[in-house]
Amino acid sequence: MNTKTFMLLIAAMLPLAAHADRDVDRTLPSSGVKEVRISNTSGSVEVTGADGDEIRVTGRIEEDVEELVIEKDGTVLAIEVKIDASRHGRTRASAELRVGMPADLALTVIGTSADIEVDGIRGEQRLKSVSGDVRTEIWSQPLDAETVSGDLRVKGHGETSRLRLAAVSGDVDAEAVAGELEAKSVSGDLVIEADGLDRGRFESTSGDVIAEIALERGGRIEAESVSGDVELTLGGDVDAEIDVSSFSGRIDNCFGPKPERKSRYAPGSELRFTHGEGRGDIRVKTLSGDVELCNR
Amino acid sequence: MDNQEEKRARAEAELDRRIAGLARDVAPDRDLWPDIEARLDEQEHAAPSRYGWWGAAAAALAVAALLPLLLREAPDAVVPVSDDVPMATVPETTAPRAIVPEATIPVETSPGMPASGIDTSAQRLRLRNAAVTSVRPGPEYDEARAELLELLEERLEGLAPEEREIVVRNIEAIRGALEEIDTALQDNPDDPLLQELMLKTYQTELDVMARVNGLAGPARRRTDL
Amino acid sequence: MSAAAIMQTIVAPAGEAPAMVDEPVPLTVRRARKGDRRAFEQLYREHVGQVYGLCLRMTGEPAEAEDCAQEAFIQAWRKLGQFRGDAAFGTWLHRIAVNAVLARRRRAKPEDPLDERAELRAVPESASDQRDLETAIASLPEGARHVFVLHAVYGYTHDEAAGMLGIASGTSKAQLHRARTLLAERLGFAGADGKT
Repeated sequence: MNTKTFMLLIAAMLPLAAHADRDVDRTLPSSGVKEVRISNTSGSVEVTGADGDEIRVTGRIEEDVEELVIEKDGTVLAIEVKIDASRHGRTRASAELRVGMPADLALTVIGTSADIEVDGIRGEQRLKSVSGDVRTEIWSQPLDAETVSGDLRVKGHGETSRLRLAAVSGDVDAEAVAGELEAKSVSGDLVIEADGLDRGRFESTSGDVIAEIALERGGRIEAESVSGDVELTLGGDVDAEIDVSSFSGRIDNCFGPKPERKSRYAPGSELRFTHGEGRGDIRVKTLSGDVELCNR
Repeated sequence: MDNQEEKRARAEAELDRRIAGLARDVAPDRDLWPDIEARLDEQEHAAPSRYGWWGAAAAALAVAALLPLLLREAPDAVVPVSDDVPMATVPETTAPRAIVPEATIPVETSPGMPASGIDTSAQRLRLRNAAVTSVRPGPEYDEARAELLELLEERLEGLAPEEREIVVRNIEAIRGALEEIDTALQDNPDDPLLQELMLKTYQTELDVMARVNGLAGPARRRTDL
Repeated sequence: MSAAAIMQTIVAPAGEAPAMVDEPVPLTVRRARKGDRRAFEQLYREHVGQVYGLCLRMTGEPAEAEDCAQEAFIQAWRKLGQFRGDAAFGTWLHRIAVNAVLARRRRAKPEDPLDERAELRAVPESASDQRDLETAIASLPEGARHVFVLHAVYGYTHDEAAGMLGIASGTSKAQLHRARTLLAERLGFAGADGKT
């Protein structure tokens, strides 16, 4: 916000004078807006995509919120819950925001401990929260979602997209997604259901990776975990070279070939085989996590 | 024949009657909850106690190449979607090609940090560092890590205590994982799987610190806007 | 979400709950999902009887069943975030318990052929008729026993039971027939067959 060339203050400098919770209801035209950026420290942000050409912000803000700033800067409409620095640490500074906006606009939401819930937005999305849960649905535009302790839940509609989902202790759950997907968590589980994946990369430290995937022809999946288990269920016509290795975990394979010991001296085992013509590539690596590879 | 049918029907009915009489609930002989709860605790505090490092010339190089990205200032509260650079990710690197033991170099990642540390979280983060002695990546890695850690300690200050605890616990879990891999590497120093996992886990640690720094940053900055 | 629903969300007066997707997830589950241990304990108390019963009948061993029930609740705690509310929580737990049984079974397989220990199997305490039936269930071959327990005792359809066990629906039906025939024999009734 520090290099603004043009700024049009549209609405809603709500003064703090009244020490009370306040309702918010602002409607703005969406003409010229390509992206909506929302930031809210605590509470919740719910965004819904709609057909019209208006952006409507409703909700309730608590008494320690200094102001709700809504401003347009070029093609970006920013909606920001501002907390007075001197009141930092006060507890009544959360805001429950609901934003209705045209479905095809891009959306960025930053919520420190606010839960983020998005429905029906078909534009590109960036959703970040430290401790809040993030839930959204996507179509073909990219999604970049991060949380630390919150859970991430994404529902796709089977359209090819690019997703980057990162949590730390939270679980990552992606359903009906396709295209490219990178998902990672440290101790949370990754639960992936993808039909038509070109490229999947799943990383966890102690969380489990549970993925049910139909790989596109020539697609690639890489799954890595230290102590978490990896359960990979492959759907469709499996056509890939498969390479699984675990230092001390157990490898189960429903496709037939049995894992082999890597060495007489180490506990590790590995499993390498080609299914179909081997056009795709599936690699799984763990230290102590068990690996289960099956077909649907 | 009819008689046979009748007998069969009676038997069927009798079997069904008995099945219907089976209770679905069966109480276990003892309360399982205390054991379950203990295991939930274990899971949540799972961080092995040993610790160790390895050194990887390639890892150090890879990390050095990432420094500018890793150390990028936390973004503003809102970042343009068109900005192609991810917020704080660590790109993939190739597997390390060599392991260089540097057994004698102590790892002191953040010298001169104020003693009036934020709280025990920061102390725990640093304590775990001090325990590292065996082998380690090059100085570029340490530099990146020290800076990330310093920023992280600052960021943690802005988080709620329970959130701080989660971050610290997860970083400890990553370090526990590093240590597990390190232990395995000591017996199998040439194992490419272990080398790759070690590198990835190092990156995970940096990545998590960078991500937390990025995510936890805006909240504090926002008050200055 | 329909356009009308979206408009309704937008025009809803401030402070009113928005017309978001319904989430019929019970409050206790939602609380547990947020990490509330007491809520999870409550779920444990409500469901442990069924989960343990299912485990006991599927494994036929109290110690195994205890482990399986514990494992199921621990897994459930870890996976609560995945519970979508599209099935009852109890059903979801049962699936996890069945997976725990199957996983334990797979791990035990090479050196531990459980099936040969039928005579050692324990059965739940019950009145004598029921005890006979429990003993007979416990003595069934594993495949038949699993299907019988899920379908006949816990009321799952063949499709559901098959899905949980990773077998075909037809196999489930065949196993049920086999189970009923064997039970009828072992209980000394002649003539009962595999009708459901």
